[in-house]
Amino acid sequence: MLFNSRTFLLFFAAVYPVHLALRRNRRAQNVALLLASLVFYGFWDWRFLGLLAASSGIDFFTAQKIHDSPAPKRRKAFLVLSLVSNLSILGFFKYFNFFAESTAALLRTVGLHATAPTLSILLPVGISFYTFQAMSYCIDVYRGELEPTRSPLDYALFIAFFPHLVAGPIQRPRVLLPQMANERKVTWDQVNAGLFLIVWGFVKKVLIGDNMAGLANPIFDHFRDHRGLDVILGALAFTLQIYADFSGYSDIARGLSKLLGFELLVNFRLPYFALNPTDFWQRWHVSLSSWLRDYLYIPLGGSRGSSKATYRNLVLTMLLGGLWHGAAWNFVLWGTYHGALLVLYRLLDRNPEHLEPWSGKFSRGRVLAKMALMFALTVVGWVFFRSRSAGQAVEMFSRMGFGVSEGTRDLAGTIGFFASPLLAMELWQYRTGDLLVLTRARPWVLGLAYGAMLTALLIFGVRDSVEFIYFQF
Amino acid sequence: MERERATATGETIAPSSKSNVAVTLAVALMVVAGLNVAALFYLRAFPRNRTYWLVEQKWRKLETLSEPVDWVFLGDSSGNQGVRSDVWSAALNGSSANFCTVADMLALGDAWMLERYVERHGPPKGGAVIVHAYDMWHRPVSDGMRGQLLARVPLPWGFWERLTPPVSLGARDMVSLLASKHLPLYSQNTTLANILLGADWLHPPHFQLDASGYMAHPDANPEAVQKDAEVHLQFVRKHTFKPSAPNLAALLRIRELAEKKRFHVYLATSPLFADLAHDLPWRRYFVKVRKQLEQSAAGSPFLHFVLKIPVTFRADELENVDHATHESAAAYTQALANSIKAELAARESLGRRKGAADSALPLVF
Repeated sequence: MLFNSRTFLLFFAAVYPVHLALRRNRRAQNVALLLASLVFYGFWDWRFLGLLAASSGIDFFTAQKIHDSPAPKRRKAFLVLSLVSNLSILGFFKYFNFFAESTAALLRTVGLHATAPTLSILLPVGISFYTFQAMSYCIDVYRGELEPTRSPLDYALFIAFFPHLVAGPIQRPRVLLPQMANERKVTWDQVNAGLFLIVWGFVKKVLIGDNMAGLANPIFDHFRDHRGLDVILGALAFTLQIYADFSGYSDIARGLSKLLGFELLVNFRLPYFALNPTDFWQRWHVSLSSWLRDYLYIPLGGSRGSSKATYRNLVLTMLLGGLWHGAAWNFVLWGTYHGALLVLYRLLDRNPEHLEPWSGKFSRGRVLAKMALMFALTVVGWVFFRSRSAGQAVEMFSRMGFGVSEGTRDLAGTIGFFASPLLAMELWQYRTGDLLVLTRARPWVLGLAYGAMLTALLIFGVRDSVEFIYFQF
Repeated sequence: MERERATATGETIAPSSKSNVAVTLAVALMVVAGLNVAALFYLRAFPRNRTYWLVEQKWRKLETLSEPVDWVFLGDSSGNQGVRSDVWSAALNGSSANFCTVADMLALGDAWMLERYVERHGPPKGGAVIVHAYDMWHRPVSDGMRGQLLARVPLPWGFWERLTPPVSLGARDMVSLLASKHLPLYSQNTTLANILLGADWLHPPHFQLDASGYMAHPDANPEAVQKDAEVHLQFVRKHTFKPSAPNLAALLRIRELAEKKRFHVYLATSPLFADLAHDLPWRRYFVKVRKQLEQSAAGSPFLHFVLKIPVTFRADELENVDHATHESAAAYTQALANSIKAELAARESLGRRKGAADSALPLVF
């Protein structure tokens, strides 16, 4: 069930009144939300529900065992059990074929005949998101940073809560679990902010992202038919598509949660305004990058050891971050590329401009130049990400240039047309440092803006429900 | 100044209230509604879609026709730009009105229009001529007809159930029809997007009908004809002709109306690209169409099938495979008039021969 489908509209129209009617009974509200979430998830394939239940069940009990065991060894054993079960589920469903095929290919290169035992495995939607969320729960309990919940209902809802279930943001138990467990009230402040996030999220997804997909897909799918500026514009279109698509999803998820009285973590903080790779990863898919930082990079030693160790940790974290996106070498390449960028910037650029870029300490030109350079480097990374193979990425780079074709002008014009509302809104958000800046406008101004956005959605929005890119991860 | 609130995630959200949210939503809805009305008026004043415009104009012409005419032309767009009233009156005398719309209205549209015409003006003195392209007869009621086309017919809601043969619409069709009629932001989004993206809103295309309802198309488009012919060839190679149920029902209704009100109806084939007519698969397909139309007219003294062999043209005489230019429309109209004249003459001679013996028999079968 996609957010951008009529089915979801009907689903939410049925769920919301029930949720509001049960506002005086938190437990009943949680039961209703859990049932709704299971229906939402089961809509893809009811068989996925078993996996979700198994995964949740294991973590719910192991977390209690971790907490209740006095012996450190026993606590560790239960943590290992949780991590192994989560990673096994993820590994089997997501990476089995990839590793089997890659191993067979490796053996073939050294002259050994090997056939990969591939299985026809259906990838459960959102598996990468909810296993990471479950792992952070057990790790937090192990670290003593969190009391495990004794309510299976609250825990199940924490994992299965439908706005974030299939594509995040990956929630931290410390933030979301208390919201499940405590009394809550939907406030008009939340409704106001939630409406903005939903409308703006749809504008990003359906108006900008899906229209950009229509421009980027033909260039990436038939890259040998294009060259010069068209290839650069294709990469630019995908850069805008993936951002509008994923951040649009996150906004809608956060907006729906606010309408239901919950707060989800901010997932995107204007990433294309980043000045360097560190800044970029503090703005892009924040819930994943902070997860990788807290549960992988820092446990690996972070930047506490030697420079070499830090660089190794950075590259390893980003490589695994890339692999998290999917079982394919292009994601590994993309992750490694970003790891290399982080290392390179640490070596060559030690100015932390991104902490206070407009304080006057640095010239505007310098800040803008760094922003432009980081944006260009990000676009390069997206070519790796979107290409089906490393060969395709290399060939696409070799085809880039400034030559124009008959369609270049139209292509550039269309990108400009659809990107302009995004740029205008984000410039305003960047200048004010406030992602919800529009919600501070007078109600009638806000109404005018929504009216314009809804009209634009009706006229220019892509009508076929196009799946969100991150659903495949 | 109200205090801002930090949420569980540390995000600061602006204070709001029930009335603020209500005002926001009301203004948003008013903006969308206002722009929708503006789009409605704009598209009415400066129509962009020739098909929609044609259906609406022809129905309006029918509904506002003050005096009866001698000849009524019905059918699809091949008739719309194929039958010239000036050539017709020179050949057959009498006034005429061209109510031809588009093929997707099917023969249903002809039956409905004929019913409305006869209801208000009685049977046409000369008769009704129905011109259709060969590839109309297999078509079912399309989603396009259920939505956009029916929405263009300026008759009270539910007319599709009151006219014969009726069309049944499901709840989903009704919503689509309602949206097509009143919500151009939703239903004509592609047209509006093209206007806004193309920035040609100041120079809309100009559609025009003459007093009889005929639409002249001055320029031939040989390239388009050739491309269109390829599409038609692929179609006839893949399909075997079978008339659609709504078209058969409409033919029955037309025959019933003609016989009941005792006026003549002539079914005719449209102008056609000569190369297509010479193609074997096309001929195989067309033979079946012809057989069906002959069967439908067989035994009726009032329903006739004329131009059984299509009038053909070169690519440089057409806009597409079955749409004539203004000049070739004259030749087509002349041929159509001649075939009706021949039909009239045959009927007259048959009448004279049978006259003495059968004069006492009733004419209704």
